[in-house]
Amino acid sequence: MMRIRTFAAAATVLAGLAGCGDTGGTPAAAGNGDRLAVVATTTQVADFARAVGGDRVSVTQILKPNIDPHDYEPTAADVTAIGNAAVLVKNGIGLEGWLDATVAAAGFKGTVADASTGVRLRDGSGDGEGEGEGERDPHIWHDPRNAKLMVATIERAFAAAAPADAAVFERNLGSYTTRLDELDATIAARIASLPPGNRKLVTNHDAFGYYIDRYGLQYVGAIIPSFDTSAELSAKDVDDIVAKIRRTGTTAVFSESSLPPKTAEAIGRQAGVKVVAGEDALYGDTLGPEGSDGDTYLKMETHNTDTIVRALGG
Amino acid sequence: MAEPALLVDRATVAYGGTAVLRDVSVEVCDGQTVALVGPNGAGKSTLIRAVLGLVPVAAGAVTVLGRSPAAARRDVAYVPQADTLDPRFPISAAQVVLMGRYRRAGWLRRPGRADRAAAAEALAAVGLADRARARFGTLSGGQRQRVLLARAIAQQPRLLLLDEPFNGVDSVSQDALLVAIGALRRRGTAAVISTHDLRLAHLACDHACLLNGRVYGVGPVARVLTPDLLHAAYTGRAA
Amino acid sequence: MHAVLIEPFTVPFMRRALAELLLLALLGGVVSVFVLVRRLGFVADTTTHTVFPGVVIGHLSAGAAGVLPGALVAAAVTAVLLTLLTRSGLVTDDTALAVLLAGMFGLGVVLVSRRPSFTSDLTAFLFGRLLAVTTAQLWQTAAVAAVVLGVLGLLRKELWLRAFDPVTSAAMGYRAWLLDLLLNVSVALVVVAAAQSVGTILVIALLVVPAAAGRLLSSRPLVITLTGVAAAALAGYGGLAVSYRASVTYGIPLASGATVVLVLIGLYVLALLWSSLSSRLEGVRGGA
Repeated sequence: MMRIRTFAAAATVLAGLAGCGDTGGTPAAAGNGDRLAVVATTTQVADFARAVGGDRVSVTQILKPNIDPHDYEPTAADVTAIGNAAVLVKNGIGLEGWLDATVAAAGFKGTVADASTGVRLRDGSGDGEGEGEGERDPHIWHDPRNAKLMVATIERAFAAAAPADAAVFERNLGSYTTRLDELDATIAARIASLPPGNRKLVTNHDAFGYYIDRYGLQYVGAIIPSFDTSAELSAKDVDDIVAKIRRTGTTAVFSESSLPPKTAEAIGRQAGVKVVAGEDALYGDTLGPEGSDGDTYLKMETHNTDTIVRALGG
Repeated sequence: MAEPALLVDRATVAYGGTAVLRDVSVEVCDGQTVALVGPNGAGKSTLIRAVLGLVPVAAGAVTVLGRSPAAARRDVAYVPQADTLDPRFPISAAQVVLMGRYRRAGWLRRPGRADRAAAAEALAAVGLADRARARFGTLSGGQRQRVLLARAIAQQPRLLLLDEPFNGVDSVSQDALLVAIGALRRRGTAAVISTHDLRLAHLACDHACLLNGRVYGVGPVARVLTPDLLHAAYTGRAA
Repeated sequence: MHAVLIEPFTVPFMRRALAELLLLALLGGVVSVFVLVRRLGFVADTTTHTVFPGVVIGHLSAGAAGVLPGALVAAAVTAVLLTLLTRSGLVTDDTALAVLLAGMFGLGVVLVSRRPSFTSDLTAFLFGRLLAVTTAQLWQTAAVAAVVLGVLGLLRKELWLRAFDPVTSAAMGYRAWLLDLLLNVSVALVVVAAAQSVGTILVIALLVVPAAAGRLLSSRPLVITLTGVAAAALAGYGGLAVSYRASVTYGIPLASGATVVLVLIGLYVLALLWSSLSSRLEGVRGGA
């Protein structure tokens, strides 16, 4: 009837709409007021990108501070920015599960810099229920040595996309790497100042694996036994972790800036230990908002270290 | 006489172990109108459903136009009570009547001009030609009942089944229904009309079947709807 | 004005999102009419929940590529179950539906909680990724639309009769279970098709609101359908335009799928106001 004909007409119009020019974004290598158009996903890699690029790049950061990076819905502005970018910097290792579809939709024509290139990855902690193969810890940035690899990867991508500014990028990389080395040494010294029996960490989710490995802390467990923030604790999990806290003599439970502290507080109360939450919380998944104690990578790691040492040492 | 339009031969219908109709026999020939009379719960609707093939017969047989109920559906039309239908449904009177032509049109085709003509004629036969475009639910109860009868007329059936068509119907509509039913009778259509209005049973029908679980009397109206038989039927519901 | 209404759609991903929404407007507008007259609103909502375990199982088996087949299987199972429930008379019982809905959704949650590392794909299915619609998905939706609209279009008079007068429909010899199955499958297909763009939680809006708005304005089936389709299309266009402009110019993130639904609800409210206003003006008999 009319209905079938109307539908056929509508479908033709819609097919035309969809097919219409898939121009996507033209990578602005030398456009954008001469600055390289860069899109960075997480707060950390955005910070790195700015550190390496300086004023020769224009960085659009997708994730805002205290937004959970594991589960994010990109907005129209995000998709548009990706479409227009020459370099996309991502953390990788499945942290940004939502990214691939978005990149495809945006018609991105530039290069992707996977900051995790070359980084040695930790496997699933084995502390929670069996994670399958391929479960890698994506929170690589908490080890400054990894951060060095990440900024190097970023610098390579920038230099390839804007060769004219390669010298600048290399210089920036050099000075930032020096600061990373200083950070690494400082943290190591501060952790070493803790009595050996008092280096036990219970965190909100399993975000600090690389930090713990690097500085020889002891990982007791996490409130959310997963790299992802949406897992639920079973009653047994709660009992297990409270028992572990008591058994190992852990003295503090640390919450995180981007996660609600309720569960951490509840467990801390039940186990009778100190709970570090709120403003003093650790920066696990994201940097802090501008003006906070963790609004750059260097400040974040410093803050985390100070908080841990203060809580465990006192 | 040619085969009867409807032959119910010692039919028993049960719902989950309880017999609703027991050993019911009734015969309806072409051009005959049979009033199905009995109290509430007598099994009148059940008998109609058995004739339509909507409930199975546990014992005995129901033969419609010489065939099984399912096979005879094309030539059987059903008129439900108007108040069982949602008055807010977005449909016009003409569209309701046109539904009677669906089977004729077939599965994948729209009703054609002949169908529309038959529908218009049927609507006129119940005196509602001027309300064709009105939404079904805006009509009065009696008018809605007439529209449903028109739908059945449009089907051009050989057997017509009406379920309490005179319930809550105003006298104008009652008359219109009687006129249309009379016209059908003269055309040779057989009809079964369930009702508990005895006056209308006399007016509309030439035969009657007194029913309450079993048959208390069947035959010409005057002989069946007697005080004695009515009393027996209305009080004697055996366990 | 141009900035709000035209400019967003100069970008390919926005055009694809719009095309998807226009297809869904056509699909939802038509199917919602049947949902309305058959009072399948709760059944439709049940379906949006029962596809969830299918999505989870599909993901567990085959990753992101398994989501759609998993949803389709779950949708098919749901359609069959619901048809069986209707035959046994239980589907008019909200309790039976609620048990089915809660049971299957709970199953999905239990399955999810065993492997907590793919919430991103699941959230995508619950809330949709309107801005990430691919051309392949557009063709999928178009295929679903062709099938569903074809079937409903061919069978609309039988479906209409079954909705209006189920006893007479059966008396005329139409098999109720077959018509019900076809309609339930149609609803399920719309749920699966729309889930990828607006998500299962919001697809119920597309299955209920268009016809509801159309019914407020008319009692003629064709007008109801066209009004519903137009409302859904307008909501798609407007919702996308507004969320784009809010995000790109003002930095306010408005989830596109949800914005579309809100605009649709807004149009419904307008229809409601119009309808009550015109019935008041006409005094006796308002908006047939």
